Amino acid sequence: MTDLLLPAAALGPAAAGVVWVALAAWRWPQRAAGALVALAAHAAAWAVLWLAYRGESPAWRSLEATLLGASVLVATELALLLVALRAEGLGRRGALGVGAALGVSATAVAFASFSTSLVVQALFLPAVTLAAALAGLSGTGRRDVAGVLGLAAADVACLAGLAIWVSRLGSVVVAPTGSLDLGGALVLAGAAIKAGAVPGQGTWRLAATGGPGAPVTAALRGQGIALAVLAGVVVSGSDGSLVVASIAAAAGLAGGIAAAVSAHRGGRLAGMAGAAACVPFLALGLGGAVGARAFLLSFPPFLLASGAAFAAGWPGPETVDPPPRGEGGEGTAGRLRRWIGVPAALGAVVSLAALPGGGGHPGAALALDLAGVRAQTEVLYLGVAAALMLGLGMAAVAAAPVVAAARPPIPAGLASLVTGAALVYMGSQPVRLGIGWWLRIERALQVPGLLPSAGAPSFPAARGIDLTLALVPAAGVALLIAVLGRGVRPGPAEVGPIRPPRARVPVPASASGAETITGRVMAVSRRARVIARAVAGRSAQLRGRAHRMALGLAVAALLEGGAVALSVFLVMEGVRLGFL
Amino acid sequence: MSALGVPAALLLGLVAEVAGTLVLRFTGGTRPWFRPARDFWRDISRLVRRRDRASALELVGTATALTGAGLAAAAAMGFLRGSPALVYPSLALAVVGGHVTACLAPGARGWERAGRARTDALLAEPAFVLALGAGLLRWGAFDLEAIRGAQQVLGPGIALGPPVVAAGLIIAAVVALVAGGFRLPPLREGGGTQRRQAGSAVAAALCRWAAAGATAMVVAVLVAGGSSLSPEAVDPVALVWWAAAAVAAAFVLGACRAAVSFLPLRVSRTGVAVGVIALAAAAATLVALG
Repeated sequence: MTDLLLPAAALGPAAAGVVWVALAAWRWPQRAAGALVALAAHAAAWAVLWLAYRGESPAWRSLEATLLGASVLVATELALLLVALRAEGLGRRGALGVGAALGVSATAVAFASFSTSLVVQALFLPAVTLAAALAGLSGTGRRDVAGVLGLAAADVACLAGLAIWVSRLGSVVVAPTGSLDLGGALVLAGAAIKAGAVPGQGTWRLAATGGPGAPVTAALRGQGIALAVLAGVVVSGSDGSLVVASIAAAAGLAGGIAAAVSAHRGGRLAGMAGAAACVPFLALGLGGAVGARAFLLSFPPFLLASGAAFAAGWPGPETVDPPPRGEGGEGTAGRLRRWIGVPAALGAVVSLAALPGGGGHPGAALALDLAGVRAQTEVLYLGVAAALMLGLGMAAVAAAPVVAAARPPIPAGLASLVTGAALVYMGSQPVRLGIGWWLRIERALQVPGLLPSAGAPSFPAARGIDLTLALVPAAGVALLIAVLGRGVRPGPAEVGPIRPPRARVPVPASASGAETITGRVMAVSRRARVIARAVAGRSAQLRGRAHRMALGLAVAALLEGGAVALSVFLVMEGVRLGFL
Repeated sequence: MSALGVPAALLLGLVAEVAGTLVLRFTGGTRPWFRPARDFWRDISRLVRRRDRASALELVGTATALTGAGLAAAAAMGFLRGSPALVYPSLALAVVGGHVTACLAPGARGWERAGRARTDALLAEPAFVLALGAGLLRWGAFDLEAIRGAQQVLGPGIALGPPVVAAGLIIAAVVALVAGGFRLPPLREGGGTQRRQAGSAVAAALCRWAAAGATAMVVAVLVAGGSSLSPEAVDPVALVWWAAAAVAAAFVLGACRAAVSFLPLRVSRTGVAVGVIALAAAAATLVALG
């Protein structure tokens, strides 16, 4: 029986996708059979995780389940199940594309998590990008496949990295090299694009769209984390690098800024998830035993919270809110969506932004504390910590209207509410929940042990009792307001736009002259604005022309073709080295 | 003991609001200096008498904001670990909760102001982090406990040489307070005879006070140290220094926030934000040079 678990966990999701497509003509059988097969595959993944936790290592062909790999798969699949609940709102064609893409992607993530062969890794690497592109194309237009160019570039980078490893090791078996070499750096760069950590590229751009490609970003994030595990932990042995840490922190800051300037809810969510994606990469960059532990603590909440935030706060292709009928009179279902959506989105955002009480806080705080400790000898680490904190803080503030406007469909809202609550519990009791898990993984990875005399940052930053003691008076005050008013009134059926209209400022007559300093500054600023507008207009014109010519898609197809060619090259290389 | 953070932050936040009203009064305003407390009391009584309730969204936001402020205040008082990795996210949580509370339906009174307050908060965030970073750089520590300990031995930071470093620290503290004022969520519009939802106004005021008070308490640790309030480690002199600095910081925060309202409308908020960031960078440079 246990021999079947690993193939079931790896191939089950793809089978669910096939069932979903095959029963497309019958709506309810499609839902029931698709959900049944998907849940069975997910149960198999949990069973594999349990076996790995107990110290057994289920194996099948070139797949071998480790506790770390099984954890990545389970967290990714949970996120996929969450985002799949939003597929129905995409229309018949979109839902069909998303269901199939999610199934195929989950299988590819399973192979990325379990495979001990670089050839198998290479074979399944482009699958998620292709699935995301096909899902996007099942939408209304080419706008829904934004970011595919970056994803194709990420595939090429990862495959180039794998090719370097194969030629360096002279073998196709995954093996630790003990340092972060060029191959590792290329795989990490591709992983960052796939995890959505690189602003304006790959998963980030796809996540900001409202089409059927957006839900597949949950699988892309899982694949990104699986690749980061491969390059940053398994192969490089948690070596760490100041350059990687600095780039991760800069990307986190850019994520916060991008979230702040975005005028759309989808863009703000993508920025928020992008800034959060930088935390695991920062931990990898810090390296060492504490860095590895921070990585282990930060990736499961990242995957889960990004899925929950998507399920609760993604605006979707069209407005999901019905038009309001008077103040708060939009019906029971509408009120229920509001009641569920706001706390669900809040829980997810708090976890993503690593705010206290959220699931992401313990890992991020440990990484930032480690950067703070290292800053005593290298002051650049203080900048690294400040940049990431600022990025996460800006993203969190920018997400406030997204939280207030969250009105998800009830099943998706309920699922993300439960996930948000679980994340808050994870954030308040990280040691009780995870110590056995991370000690087993660290032992398997042969991470050096932490001695109390080493001066490592203490963990966690805030214990569950501290969070409870802060929450009790705060919740008490809120409850008191409700009791004094003898209840609560319905909140607004919808909230104002993300970005408020600009205040109309009367230009004084004196400002037009250049006789005062203010006048001169305003004149220069006016000229700069005119130039900026002209440049932006020209750039938009060029982008429009490129879009009409499908230039991005053509280049992406070329790059993906290159990636497939690299895969074939790696397979041939593997055959030469005795893979078959 | 860390439950004390919430009331302490609220009290200092009230001080900041009163300071803002005082500044407005000294510059020709006609409203009494105790207006924030009076309005709050009136809103409470209207909430009770007329059942002028708050919405569920506002209550969730208020609880979140007070939790964040309580955690930051507890860390500033020494009941929790003073790691910036806890303190800054707690302050961010307080601000996020406040801005969730402030979100209004389009067309409701003050909804545009709430949006502009969010933009202000985002513009002020870099200066705030930079200023806090300059404060940490001054003490070469990534922990409020270590900063408190250093000042218990050497004396309060604002009076500790070299002068360039002390000047950098003072500038950083002022910038943190100015930026902290910009980050605050807005109060509900409409006071006096104007009708406003009393429950919503109470929730918004509490969020704003809590964020302001927690910010002042954290900045006070950077400039005056203080003492852990844990019974076995209390140092009364250091504690008095810190408490005085916290009240002064709350005054400065409230006064700066009120002073911003005198800025002409044509002055760009982005320009002000860039100026404040430049000041914070100058403070960090001074501290690093010293």
